[in-house]
Amino acid sequence: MIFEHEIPSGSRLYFGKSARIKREIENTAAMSLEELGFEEISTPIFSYHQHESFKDPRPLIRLNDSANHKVTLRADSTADVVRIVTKRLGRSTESKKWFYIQPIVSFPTHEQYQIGAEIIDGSFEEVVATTITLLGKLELSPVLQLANIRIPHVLNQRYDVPLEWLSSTNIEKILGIDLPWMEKLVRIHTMEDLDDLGDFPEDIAQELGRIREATANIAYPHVVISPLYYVNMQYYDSLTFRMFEANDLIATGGIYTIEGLKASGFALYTDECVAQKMNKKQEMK
Amino acid sequence: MLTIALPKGRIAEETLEIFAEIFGGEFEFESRKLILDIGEFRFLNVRNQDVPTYVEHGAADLGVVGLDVITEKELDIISLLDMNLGKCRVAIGIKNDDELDWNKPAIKVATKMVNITKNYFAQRAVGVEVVKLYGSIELAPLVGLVDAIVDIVDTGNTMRENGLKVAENIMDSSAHLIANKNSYYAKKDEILSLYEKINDVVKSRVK
Repeated sequence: MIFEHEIPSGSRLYFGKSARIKREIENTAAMSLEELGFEEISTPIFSYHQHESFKDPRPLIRLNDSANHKVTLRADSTADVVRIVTKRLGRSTESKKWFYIQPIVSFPTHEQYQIGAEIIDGSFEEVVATTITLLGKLELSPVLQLANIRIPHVLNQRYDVPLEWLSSTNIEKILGIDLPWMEKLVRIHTMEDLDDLGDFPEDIAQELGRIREATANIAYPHVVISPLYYVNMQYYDSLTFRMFEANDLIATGGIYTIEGLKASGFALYTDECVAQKMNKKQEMK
Repeated sequence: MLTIALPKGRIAEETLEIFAEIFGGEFEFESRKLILDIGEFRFLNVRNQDVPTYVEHGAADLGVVGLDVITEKELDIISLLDMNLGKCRVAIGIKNDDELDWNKPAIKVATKMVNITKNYFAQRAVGVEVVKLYGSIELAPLVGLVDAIVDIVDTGNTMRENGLKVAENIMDSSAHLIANKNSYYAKKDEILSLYEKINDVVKSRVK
């Protein structure tokens, strides 16, 4: 039985103070991103291409269009924004910096509000700096975690480390691998740990070097390095980042390739930002 | 400060013994107390099945819990170390006089471990009808509720005493040290240092 007042589990309801905080966050983000030269876009909730972004398509909510083509509800904005901006709007705009404020949904009834931005031909440093600026305006300073998805892929392809151990971060199994530099790789945690890469083979050192180069241009106090972090979205192919506060994931992003096009982007998780702001207001009382 | 969720009972006691061996002093919950603060550690005394929930939601940085519970709950946590404590098996049990009939269109199975059961039978392309029970699983085939059970087998005494036998083993299980994802990345030095110390004790005991 469904009660009159019931809403589906995982869907979002904001009212009163929480709705006001959400609106303030979205307004602040929109103004800041416009000041930084981004143009706004709002993409359809229905998509033909979402499945290309997901290794595991199970979170996708599927239906069919009038010609019985497979359609899914938007479970990720990045791929659609990039595809629409380059393939559909390509001739009518020259802007390479886009932002969106819209929710994503996943099976069965999970809903998540996001503020995101994509920069065509953008760099990792630019997208991290934009995220940090935005979070600064929202008075949030979560931990910034930097990673490089090429490292797990190199470990898998050249050193036969099972992808399953890497994607599930099975520390005992990874540390049990007979490679003299593996423990040092697992232990990398701070920017200083990247100063001397002499113990690593060239392919791993090169990818760690990419993280080191990026950190040199990031002025932020709370940075941790996680070389083995495995990001699930298929389009990320190099440097990625996460920002978290306690157990809340506040933002993710990185550089990626979609249909041969290099770009960088991030998503800010509005629901978690609202929760953080409400907690802070509560603590101040 | 690291917060560690422990499952009430023997595994908690054995884990605290390991901490006492590493750091010295007494690591013991006072009777009925659910929180134990010692030095840089806070231990939480929770139900076995709840340990991964405390860890996944970040109420605890670390937890000690059976591999069967981790597998059943399919949670997004980091697996650190097999602590070789509380060794047991997850097995299919049937009545002593029965044989498991794989040719049935669907085998009716009673269990607490719905996901493990469904996955095991799905991998063998055998239909299964799962009946979720919360306790006294061994009773179900005896009264004709189901064809078989999937349950934890330690010594096998409970099954034997109830006229059941193990038809097949599904997986071996033992207590594992797990970590919350964000805690692991934020407190990696602390957590890996503790991992190393516990691993040394675990290895020395296995020898």
